[in-house]
Amino acid sequence: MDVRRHTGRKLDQFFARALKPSSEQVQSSEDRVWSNLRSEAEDLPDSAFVSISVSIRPYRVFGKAQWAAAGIALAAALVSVLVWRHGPPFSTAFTTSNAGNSPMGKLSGQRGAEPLQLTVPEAFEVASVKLVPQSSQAFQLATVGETSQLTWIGCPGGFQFGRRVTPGRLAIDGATLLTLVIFAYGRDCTLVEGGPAWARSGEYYEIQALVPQGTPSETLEAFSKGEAPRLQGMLQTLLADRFRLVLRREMKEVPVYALTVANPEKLKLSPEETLPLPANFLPGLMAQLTPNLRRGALISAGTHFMGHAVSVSDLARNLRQFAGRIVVDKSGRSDLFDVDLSFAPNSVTPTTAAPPDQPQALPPVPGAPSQSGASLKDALFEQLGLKLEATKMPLEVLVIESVERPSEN
Amino acid sequence: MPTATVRNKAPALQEFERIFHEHYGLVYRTAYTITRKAEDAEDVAQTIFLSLLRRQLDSDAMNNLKGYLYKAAVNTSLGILRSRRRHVLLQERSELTATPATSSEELEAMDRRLWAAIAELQENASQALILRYIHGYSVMETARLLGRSRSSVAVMLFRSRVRLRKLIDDVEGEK
Repeated sequence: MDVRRHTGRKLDQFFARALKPSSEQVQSSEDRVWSNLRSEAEDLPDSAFVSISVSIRPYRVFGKAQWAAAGIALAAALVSVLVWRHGPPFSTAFTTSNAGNSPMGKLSGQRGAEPLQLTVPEAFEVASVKLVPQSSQAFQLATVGETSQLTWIGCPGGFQFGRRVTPGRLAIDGATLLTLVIFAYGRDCTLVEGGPAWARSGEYYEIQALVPQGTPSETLEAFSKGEAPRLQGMLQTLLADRFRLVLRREMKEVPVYALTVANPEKLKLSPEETLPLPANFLPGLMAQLTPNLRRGALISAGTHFMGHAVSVSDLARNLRQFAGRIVVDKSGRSDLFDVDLSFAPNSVTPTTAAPPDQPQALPPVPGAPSQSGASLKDALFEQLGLKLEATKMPLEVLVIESVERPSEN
Repeated sequence: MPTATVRNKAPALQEFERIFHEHYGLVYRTAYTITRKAEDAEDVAQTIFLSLLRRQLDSDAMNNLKGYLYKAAVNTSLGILRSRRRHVLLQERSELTATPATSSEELEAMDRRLWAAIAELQENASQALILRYIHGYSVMETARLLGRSRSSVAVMLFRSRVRLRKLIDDVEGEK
């Protein structure tokens, strides 16, 4: 351990020794290079300049209504400036109410005293929020998503389909306010409480939003993992602005499963770029479309998981729906490994749903042996050397203090 | 309505000038830190901005121009380091046979070997390492600039540090 610390310190000293030019040095070099480049640029033919054009290209959005789009963009910018100057509406909620009423409330109050992390106003350039009509296909799909989520996870929000993240654009076909909060804050659905019934279930909104030009693009994968901070920040601003959403943060003891390493020998990584999937892993056309697993991919066919170069935290996130509780990565491992995990379907018990505003009933620990194979707990231990232990952990819960149906576009 | 593309030289040059002054500092500082020579750093910066002036960039590069220029600065500078590598190895061999080195010479030799090791890392890893530990960007900012996820950058940084620490161990073991 001492040797590690010693070499780590040496490495930090090396980085600290790195040469850095003075401001004067940078400035004089900049002046010199600019005078060289300027004469070079002036000698270039006019045709050479056609390419430098992207940054002033206006967005063409929603048909031909450029002027309307520009007006909305200006309004959005003004709103975001106001939010930035005066603080978003939910910032006041962090300092309120039951702080001090209980030990947990006290924690909430302490968090409330922290400054909000929103230093730069992040807002979509243009965003449209529409209620999805009950007759539409998006409504049917959202209903199916909500029902399956309720069955497996125990709460209705956070179903995964009907979202697209393309460069410069976020589209959500139909999601409840609860689901939007889950996406925006990257929370498990059990960690978002409160709110009226319409906000939690049965009323879906379609979001079409343009991301400001120049924003680094983020992927659907990152968005799904709650690792797309800019996109999530913009969605948070939209919720505060259009739905007048006010949230309160609280710390609560939550029953979870801790995932730890019991036998590190079983965690191995293949050096290959891709790994072939076993025959019949995926049915028919899907098998043809996905014959291999790329690095970082983790897919499941029922209760059979295959992953290549994935982290324990990726696995924990994916096991959540089968475990019935949040699975917290307590392995302390940040390296990557391959996963081939299968467990008996009947070792998993769907959660019995509670009414939306009530705490959810917990499913039984998935450790009981089954007749047709290992339980999830045993399979993790035997096949990957990982241990799944039931425990309680203080986690931050978001409580919806108040919310309104969205304003007109 | 504004025109969709700039077809005149003057406004394009103006736009180029803005980009140049906005990003020159990062490009030059990065190149200077890696090459450790002012003239090499200036050459790197000039080459990068000249190629920017002459070539057509795709929309991904334009959306993250800072990241694009930074990556170009790291890659070009590491290229220079690699081309110096043979010379450095010869120098190191002569140092081994010469009189015992002073501590500052030892540090200099260690730095050269660490920079050579950074030049041998994968492009993304060396880019992340320099942004994080030399320019002092957070992991999240590094990830944004490189267009990658925070977890993948964290993993890259961890692995790169392990490799460099092992090199330090080996060098100290040789003493």
